[in-house]
Amino acid sequence: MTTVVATDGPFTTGVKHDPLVTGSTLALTMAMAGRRAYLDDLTGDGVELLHQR
Amino acid sequence: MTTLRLPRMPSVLVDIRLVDELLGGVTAAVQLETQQPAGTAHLAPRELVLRVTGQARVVHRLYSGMAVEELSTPRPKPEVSIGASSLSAASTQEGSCQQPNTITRRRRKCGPPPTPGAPHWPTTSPTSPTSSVLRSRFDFDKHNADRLAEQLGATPADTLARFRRVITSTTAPFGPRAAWLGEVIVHSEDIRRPLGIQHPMPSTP
Repeated sequence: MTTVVATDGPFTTGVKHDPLVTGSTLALTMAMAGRRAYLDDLTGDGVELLHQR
Repeated sequence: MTTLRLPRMPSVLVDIRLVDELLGGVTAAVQLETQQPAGTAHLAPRELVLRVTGQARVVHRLYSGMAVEELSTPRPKPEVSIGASSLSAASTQEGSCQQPNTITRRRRKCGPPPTPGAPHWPTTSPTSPTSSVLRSRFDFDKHNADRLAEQLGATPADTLARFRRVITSTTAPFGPRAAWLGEVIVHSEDIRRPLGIQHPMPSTP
């Protein structure tokens, strides 16, 4: 699991203290919809976890 | 047996008259059946199915501009345009609004009749997705091609103009709004990103 935090809005989800994933709300939305291309727009320790899925 | 299937939207006036070919007169809906598909498809509107004993054809319709689908009729698709007969011409006149609806048995409010053919559901298909998929025998490619054809203009520029006309439309099929996140944001971004189009998103609603 990861902690997901938007950099441009109030959106946040996930489990606290898990690896962090940050990015624009749009990039997070697209990544959660399975669009791997948007992983390049995300930063944080948790991004590596998303690449493995 | 003639069966008509039509999509039903909230607060849509349904006013369909059928003419009995044998008797040569207007017949009311003999049987009215409501189908409510399981809530699996977020786009699935409820549908009304009309079954009329004997041969009948639609001579008049007034409801939200959506096509009536005749599921089974042995004759070629009849002309259903408004004003095709004196019967339908009379029924569209103002002042006839206190006539009870032949299907719902309700009296509709007085006022100008709704415009047949008006795009009340302009950005998505006027055909029920459920019945469309069924009619396509679960061939989703055919379903998509048929529904796409409904939205195409005569030329690409015409198609673009059609979509531009509904940019400010707030009409949408009912259903969970979260589902439209995928339809509106994700799918449009699926198109924008490969084309290199940047579209700033509002950070607050």
